[in-house]
Amino acid sequence: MKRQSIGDKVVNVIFYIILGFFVILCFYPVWYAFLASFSDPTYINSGKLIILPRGLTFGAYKYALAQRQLWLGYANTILYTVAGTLFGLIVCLPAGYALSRNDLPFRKIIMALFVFTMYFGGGLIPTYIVASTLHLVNTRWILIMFGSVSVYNMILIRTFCGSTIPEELREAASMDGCSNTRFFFTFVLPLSKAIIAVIALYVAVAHWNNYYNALVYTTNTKLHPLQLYLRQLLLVTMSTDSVDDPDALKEIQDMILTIRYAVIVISTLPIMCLYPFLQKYFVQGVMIGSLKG
Amino acid sequence: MTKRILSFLMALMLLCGIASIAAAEEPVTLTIATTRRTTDITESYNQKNWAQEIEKACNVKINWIELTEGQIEEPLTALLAASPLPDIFWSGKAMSDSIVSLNTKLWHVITEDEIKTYMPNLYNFYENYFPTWRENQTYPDGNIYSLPAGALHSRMHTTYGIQYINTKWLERVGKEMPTTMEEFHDVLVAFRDMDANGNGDATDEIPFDFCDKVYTSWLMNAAVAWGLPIYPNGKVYYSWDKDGNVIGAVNTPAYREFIEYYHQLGQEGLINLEGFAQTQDQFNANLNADKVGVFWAWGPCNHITDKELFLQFEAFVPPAAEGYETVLPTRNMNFMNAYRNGFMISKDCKNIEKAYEIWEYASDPIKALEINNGSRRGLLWEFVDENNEYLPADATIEDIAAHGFKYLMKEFDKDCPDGCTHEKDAALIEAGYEWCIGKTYTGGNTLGLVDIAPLMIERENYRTTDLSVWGVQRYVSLDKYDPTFCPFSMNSSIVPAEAQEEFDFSTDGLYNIINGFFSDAIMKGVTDESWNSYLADLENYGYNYYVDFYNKLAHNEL
Repeated sequence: MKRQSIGDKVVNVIFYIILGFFVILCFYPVWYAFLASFSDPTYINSGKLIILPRGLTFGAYKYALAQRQLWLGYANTILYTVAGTLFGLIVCLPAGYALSRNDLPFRKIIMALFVFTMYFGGGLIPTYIVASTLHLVNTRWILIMFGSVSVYNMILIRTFCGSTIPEELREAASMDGCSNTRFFFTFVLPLSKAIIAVIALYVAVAHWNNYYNALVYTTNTKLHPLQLYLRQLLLVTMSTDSVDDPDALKEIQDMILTIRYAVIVISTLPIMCLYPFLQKYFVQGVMIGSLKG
Repeated sequence: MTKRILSFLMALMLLCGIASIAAAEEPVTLTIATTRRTTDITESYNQKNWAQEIEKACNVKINWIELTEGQIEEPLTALLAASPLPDIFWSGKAMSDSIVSLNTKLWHVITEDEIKTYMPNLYNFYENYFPTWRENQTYPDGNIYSLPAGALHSRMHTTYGIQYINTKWLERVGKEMPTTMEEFHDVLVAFRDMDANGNGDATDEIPFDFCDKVYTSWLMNAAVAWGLPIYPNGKVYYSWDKDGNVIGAVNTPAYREFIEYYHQLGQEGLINLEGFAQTQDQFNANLNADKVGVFWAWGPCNHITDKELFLQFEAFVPPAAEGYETVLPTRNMNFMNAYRNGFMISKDCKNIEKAYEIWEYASDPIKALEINNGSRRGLLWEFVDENNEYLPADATIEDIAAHGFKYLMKEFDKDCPDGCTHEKDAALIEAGYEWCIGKTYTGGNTLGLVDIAPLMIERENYRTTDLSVWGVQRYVSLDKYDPTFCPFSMNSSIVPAEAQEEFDFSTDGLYNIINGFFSDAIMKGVTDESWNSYLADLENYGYNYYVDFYNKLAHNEL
């Protein structure tokens, strides 16, 4: 192995220091939330909680896990993530593949129309009216379908298929009597595992973190995902809605103080556990968009 | 044959009669958009006892659209775009005058005849107690679109934050309650230098703490000692002259003196300068750790958990600065202290009568108390007599009136059914304990509730002097403040939408200038240069327009 020069070593050390700094910057808030979830709120608020938990308590978890809304939110989030991801893949994959085909009639116009939606949206009220007219408001369907179709993801799929599925392969299959549908299921899908994983990950993370659609399109708390519940807990003390009722505000604060960090940990834990295993797909996802076919 | 025909006709008539009776008894379905508290333990309003009683009494089936507090704006905007609209908006303060003004085509126009016909009790209440209700509810286009809800008249709401001092600390440092600015300063110095909290450490005391994240605890509240009844959380940055005209406040020499005084306190380590940045949790932590000697708040019990500790605090009127009188802001204590747009019927409502019937029913004093307290009378709350003994469950409204119509929350555990714990929400709901974890209703209460029930107009609650009862500490403290309340309060007439729009545009950024300069000046002090620059900024950002606007509003000239 080639020996490193002193200059290289110095540069490496500097890089490690910079990297270490960014690691701390990213990791500490997560660690702090974790610590705080096990610590007495008094220490948290007095700024005495720094590296290790103080006033160790599991009360927050006990309380948080006893909240029906939390479990309901958890179940809903899992449902929306799984179903939404499946729906997103079912819609995006054929669309992306079709757009990658040069023989698709009006390909450029269709693509331009898709891209147009990336820059211009209908806005909240027209979208709500459409959803309301379709009787999607206050249903699970809206939380599964909305946001599943992403033009960005579609472009990634188009690029991937255009660069990795050779035209000759389709021609050969076609000469053997293979239909478009069969070609898609028999050849395209098996050859697109990487992009499927990437898109699935993108859509799943988006669904896991999404609260906005639930906020706007559902008022039934039984349909609310975990993130919306978490947002309520975090925002309600900052809200001026309650300030005219100090008694109620106090109750809310007491409750929130106890459980908010625990809820943050509970809600992020599954995704955090998955990340190390899925990280390589993220890297692939970035590369797919950047390579020329 | 004739007999048969007659029999047939009679049977037919009987059937028709039965069918029409059955049809008449079929409950009407109404959709009500309302607000929901985050801590609500019910899954839906349908689980609430009072909601079920409304359905039964009014023979309606209610579909509740529940908008969670703190994040209402966007869902409400979307809801207003929907078709059909909910039949009723029972949404308290969520419905602003601007929303109503800008969407007048969405609302059913409420007429006096309808109120008189469908809500006779409420109509009598308005007429007897608030003869100005028409003026207060009429929008600039001459129509009434809403009926008021929520707090209307309450001693508790006379003002916002008030100042409290730890009397135990005063004892320990051997000082009396301060009555002058010099004494106040001496007390703060003693708090700083001595072991006022008695924990053996003379360095952990915060003589005066504040928190700009808590609406009652802003440092700017202390300007009252310079005769400036400012309420920054409500964007009240004006004052009043003796004739009731609105005048400038944050551009006066008095305001500069106030800033310089507190800057000096900051330099001496007598106030916690982190108050501009600290969160409410941190503020509360200081208070709960018995580190604070003086602070502004609604009431100590709103921040301090330990009863023994919060009872150590006593309200004290800020001593007036030399050449000034202490003047506290006064809230508008008339009819419009209620949320003007608490109850509205949409244009899509097909059963106007039923909508009114619901509101009339829910405005009954006892029903309103049940709604507010989230529980049936006798469970979590009950009326009490002058000795704070609970009245018997069969006490009539007349008995209650004779005792002053006051009520107290009962101890939770005292009446909790066997095996019923906080964790068992379903059991709590079943037993009617919807209140247990958090009040279940927010901002959308009916008119005849707690503070505003007809009987309470004359006989207010909390006659008790037991300070350990929630809120009583503030209630009795207000007696001390009586002479200091500003004799004037802002007219709460509806501001025409165009005027409001112009105001918002013309004063954009003004509040940031005021608050930014204040915190900066408290930290760094004021120089002639910084003061003049600030005055120029005020002018550029429309402060004169701001004062003029409120002066016109005060005199109904908008």
